[in-house]
Amino acid sequence: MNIDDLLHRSGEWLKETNTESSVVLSSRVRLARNLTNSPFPNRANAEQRREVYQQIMATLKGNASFADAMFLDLEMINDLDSEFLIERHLMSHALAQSRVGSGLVVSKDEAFSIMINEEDHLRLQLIQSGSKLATAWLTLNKIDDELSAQLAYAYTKDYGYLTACPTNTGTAMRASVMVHLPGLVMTGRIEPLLNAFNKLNFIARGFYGEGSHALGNFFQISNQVSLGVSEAEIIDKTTGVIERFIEQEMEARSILLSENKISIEDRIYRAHGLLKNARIISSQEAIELISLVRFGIDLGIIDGVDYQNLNEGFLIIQPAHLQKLAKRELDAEERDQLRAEVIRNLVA
Amino acid sequence: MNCDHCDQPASIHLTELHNGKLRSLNLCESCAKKNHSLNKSINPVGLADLLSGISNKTPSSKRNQPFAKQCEQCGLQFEELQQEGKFGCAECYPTFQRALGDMLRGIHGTEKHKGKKPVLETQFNRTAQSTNLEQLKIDLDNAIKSEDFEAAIELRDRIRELEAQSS
Repeated sequence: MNIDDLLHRSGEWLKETNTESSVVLSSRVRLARNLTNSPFPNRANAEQRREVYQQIMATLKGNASFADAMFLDLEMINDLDSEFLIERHLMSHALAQSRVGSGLVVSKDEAFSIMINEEDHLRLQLIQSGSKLATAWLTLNKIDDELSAQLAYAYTKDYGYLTACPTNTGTAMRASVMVHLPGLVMTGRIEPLLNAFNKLNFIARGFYGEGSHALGNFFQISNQVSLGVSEAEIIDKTTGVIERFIEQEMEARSILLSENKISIEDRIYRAHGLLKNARIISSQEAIELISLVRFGIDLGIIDGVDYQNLNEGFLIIQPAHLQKLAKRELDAEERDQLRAEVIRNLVA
Repeated sequence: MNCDHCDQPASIHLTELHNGKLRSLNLCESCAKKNHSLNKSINPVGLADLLSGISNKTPSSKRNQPFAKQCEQCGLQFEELQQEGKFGCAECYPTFQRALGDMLRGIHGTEKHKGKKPVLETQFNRTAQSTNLEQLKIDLDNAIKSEDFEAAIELRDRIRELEAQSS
């Protein structure tokens, strides 16, 4: 499998279409791990980083669970491919920047990936579409056990797994969920909810872009505390938090429909019209409009547009994806035009 | 041969090969009975060694000692840790132990791990890599106190190794 094979696939985290995933798009569990025998990536020199890379890669390649996986040496891939993988949530910007001795392993279905020499020696990640933290954890736990039988992890019984950053120490687990909350945003109810969960040590931030405005009303909610709780407790608590969000979002949606239906309908139909007809569209605008059409499908206002197509749209409208599609470099204007064309085909 | 613990005549003699080294233990019957860890552990302990000399009882003055300045393994300075907020290697954790409690409590509200442990986890992993002699001696003391004799052996051996290296 190579990077270009991913281009025409939706990615594991956008596959499901049942009603529950109208609020929760995907669930992700991440574990950070370090080896005992080398300084952490931020402190290691190039030689040490490469040694760690070799050791981890050799272990992974010798493991039957990873037989169909893609193994990438970050020093060998170009910037476009790097951006492409970031857009697919398979790796982070930090990994792209740290190149020397950095690696990425991706399972065939893109559900599972390992970053080597990002902030820690290993970052294991499992993504599932919909609200599936518990099952994601079950699978990831098995993989972690397999690996920890072959690699000596830095661990003490007092502090748990030792990570470069103390915010990750302990279970070194981050459980997060990507949610769509147009109801809460449009009824002005989102702020108090985010603040309330912040006090409970859950962080919620816009999924796309920075700052308080969440582009497309997409948010990522994740646990902050990784020490002093068990992995199962983190999963349970986060799942509980998500269920509260879902309840609140559904309530907000029914309020919108009962008090303001024509106004919402108008926004949704306009969004649909633009997506079907625009010739030039920026990625920000595209995300906002796709979000509205998605909302429209959820509310039963729009039909004839496939959820799967919209999901694919989220990926394909991004800059690196478009350039891979065109098989050449595109400037901003060309991207905006190609984006519009791709979207027209998806919502036709 | 006398009992390693009480100097009465020993009737139980155990020899064990551990990490390529021979270790022996000689106990009289009553000490053997009292040493309950003998029944569950396959690593006999040179108790005489542990109780004499090598163990470094923590003087009360140690509790007032300043925080460790630098990690011996990776060279990270305490100031760097404070500024960057990042550790340099696994050994930084025991090295900067005194500062760690506050730091972790500030972030997580607690400082004790309650989750899973790795499949390969043994005291050996941590001890074998450690170059922090003072910390090892503190750990040895604690291990004897809590009757974790397996750990005590690892620690004793590592301490000897380091002391031999430096002399």
